[in-house]
Amino acid sequence: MFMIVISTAILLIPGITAEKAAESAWLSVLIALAVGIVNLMLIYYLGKRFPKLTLPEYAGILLGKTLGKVLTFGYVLFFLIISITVLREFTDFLNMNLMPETPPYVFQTGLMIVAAYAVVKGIEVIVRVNQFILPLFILSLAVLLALAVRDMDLNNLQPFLDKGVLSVLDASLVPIAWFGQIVVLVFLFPKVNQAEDILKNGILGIIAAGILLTFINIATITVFGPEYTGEMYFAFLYLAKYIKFITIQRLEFLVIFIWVSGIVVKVAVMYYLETMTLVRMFSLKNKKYVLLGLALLNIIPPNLLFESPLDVGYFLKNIWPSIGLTFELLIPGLLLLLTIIEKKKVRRYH
Amino acid sequence: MKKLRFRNIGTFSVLFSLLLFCSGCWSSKEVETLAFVTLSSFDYTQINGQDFWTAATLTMKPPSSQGQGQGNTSGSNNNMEQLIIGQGSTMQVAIRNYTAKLPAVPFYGYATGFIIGEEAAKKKAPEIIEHYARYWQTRPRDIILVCKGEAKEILKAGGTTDRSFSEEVSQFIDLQATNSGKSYGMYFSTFVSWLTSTDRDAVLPQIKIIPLEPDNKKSGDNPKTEGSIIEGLGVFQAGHLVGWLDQEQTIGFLLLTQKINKGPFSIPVQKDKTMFNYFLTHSTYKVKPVVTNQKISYQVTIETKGEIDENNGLPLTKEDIAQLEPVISERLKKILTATVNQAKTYQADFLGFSEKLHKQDPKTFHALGSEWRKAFVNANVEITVKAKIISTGRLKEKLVINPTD
Repeated sequence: MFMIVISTAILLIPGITAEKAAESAWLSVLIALAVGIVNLMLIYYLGKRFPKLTLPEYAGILLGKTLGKVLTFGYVLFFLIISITVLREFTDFLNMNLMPETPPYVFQTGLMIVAAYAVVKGIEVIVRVNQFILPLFILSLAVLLALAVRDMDLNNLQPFLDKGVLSVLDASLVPIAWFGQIVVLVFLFPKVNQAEDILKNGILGIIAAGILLTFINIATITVFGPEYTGEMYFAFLYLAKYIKFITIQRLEFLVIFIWVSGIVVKVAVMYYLETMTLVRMFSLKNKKYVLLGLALLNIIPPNLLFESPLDVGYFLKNIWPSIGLTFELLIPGLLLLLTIIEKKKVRRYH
Repeated sequence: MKKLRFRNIGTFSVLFSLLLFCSGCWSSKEVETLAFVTLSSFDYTQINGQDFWTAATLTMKPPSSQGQGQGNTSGSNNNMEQLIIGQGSTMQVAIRNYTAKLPAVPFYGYATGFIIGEEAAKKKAPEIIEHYARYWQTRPRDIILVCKGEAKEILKAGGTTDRSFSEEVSQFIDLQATNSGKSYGMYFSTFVSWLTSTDRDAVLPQIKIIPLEPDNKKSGDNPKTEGSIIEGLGVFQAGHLVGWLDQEQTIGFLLLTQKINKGPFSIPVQKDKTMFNYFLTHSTYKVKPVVTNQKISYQVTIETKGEIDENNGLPLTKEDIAQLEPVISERLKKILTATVNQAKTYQADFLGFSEKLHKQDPKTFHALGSEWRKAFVNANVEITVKAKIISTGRLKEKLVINPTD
């Protein structure tokens, strides 16, 4: 959960939130953190009512077969939107900062091959790889933030709420949608060994992601000022480039490691959910064709739907929050409400 | 089962490593095919109403050609760097035109920064900065300088020592510019941050050409007669160069905007027709915006510490020091007042007073709207200086030299 939220957020959220909320952008992340916890509770209580079923299964029970399938297919599209956007962010990052001459398809195909391997081997492999990457990820972030401290000017965080409370709330919509990606849990609930610990560990994960993201926001704003941070696509990468401690410099390789490894895990999870949901939905015996089809659907559209990084920025700021909040908060919320109304139906599946 | 899982994770790791390290082969380049750019410059003018850009760059010479042709260079780059110039109707065309003169691909990843010429700084600084900020090889700690006249002349003149010019300039900005009181150690990201802020103006270190001392001139048919040093500051208002700060005003800028703890700044002071030197080693500053009846004023308090070791015969007893401190305070106050007045003349708040007002009293600042510079010009600035002498070097009151008979 931590990785799904933070892997892409670290580079993009500082620029997006600072553009709207300026020096108080860090507050928008804390608001998103609070909403994220509410979101998790909602998902947890929904999953707890059907501990052995995933969303496609209990959506059919609650909404009827047809509507249930429509909703499930909607979620497949939702995960596809996430993975396509992440793939585009991934190639934009590498093309803009590291390898401008490499065609985007090379990065996307490479990443999808790795993700496909993980999907074929199952969710456990993805989780184990995540366990391996996570400490390195956190350590790299901690090193970067610690080395940035001496260049921070806390005066850049003043005046507090200069653009007003509304701008902070507006800025928080994007990180709220980011934190809401923990909705993947409604598809993975039955696969979790100790389901009763989901809430406790999930809250810890969200708090850790939120605090880390808040620090990253504070670091970029205090070093570059709110206006310049708001103008940048990848403010945190620029911060890593700025760090110079005695002879230690050019630490952007750490950001590249963080970014690539985090994205591999995130895309693998999304790809896994897309594949498994479609396989179950249509009761398919062979998932190879679904894998291949989805791989093509992931590789080709990023370059057709988004002509430039500007399009990605526009999508993330203006379109993504409404899509995200619908699938992450609204639909699970409505389904939970339905489970409360239709108590009898639900009780049978405990 | 466990074995199988580890094998899966192992295979995944190999695939992941391949993705991480091999996917960029398209963008790979051999070192021999790169021309390492070390320092660039941009000049701008208009000819018959048309934009005319000059972009110049110093690139590292290939090791095989370094050291050849001593005394036969166009600049002071001591055979380590070569100057290439291109011209055109846009910045990019000018860059492309100098690139055409290079057999290798210019690589800016290890560049130290760039210099902006006077005309370019006056008319096109925001455009240059934006262009540079968008470029993927730009680093936030790149240095940025401004000069009077054409910047390419600075690259031609080179430095004053035997080191490469770019190294000389970047080391001075890193270590000496602020600490010596000669200029200010400005980096690209800080400059952009000041330019984009809504409540302050910016400065850039000034680089200028000086005649070289005979010892530093190169022997041979074409001796080096000029070099470049960093001294003073260029003042920007709304992103455009509007003027310059001399040596004393630069010290004033530093005292009004920085906490000095690495000096010393050498400040000549006069008492009863005797000149002595105050070595300012530490200082703190406090700028307090005061708003009374919608009138803005600033109370500035500067506290300095320093030593006197060039006393020019002045006795340095405890009583003498007590008398010298007010004289030093008065001298510093004069420097600071001159700096504030210069800022008001340029209508450029590079001292960050409006920024302080914005942070302390955002309501008043927002009420000013776009008139915040005007408000700074009209504001009364009250300066208080408390200078302390904390050391007289390794000697006590006075070194008594026995007169000859």
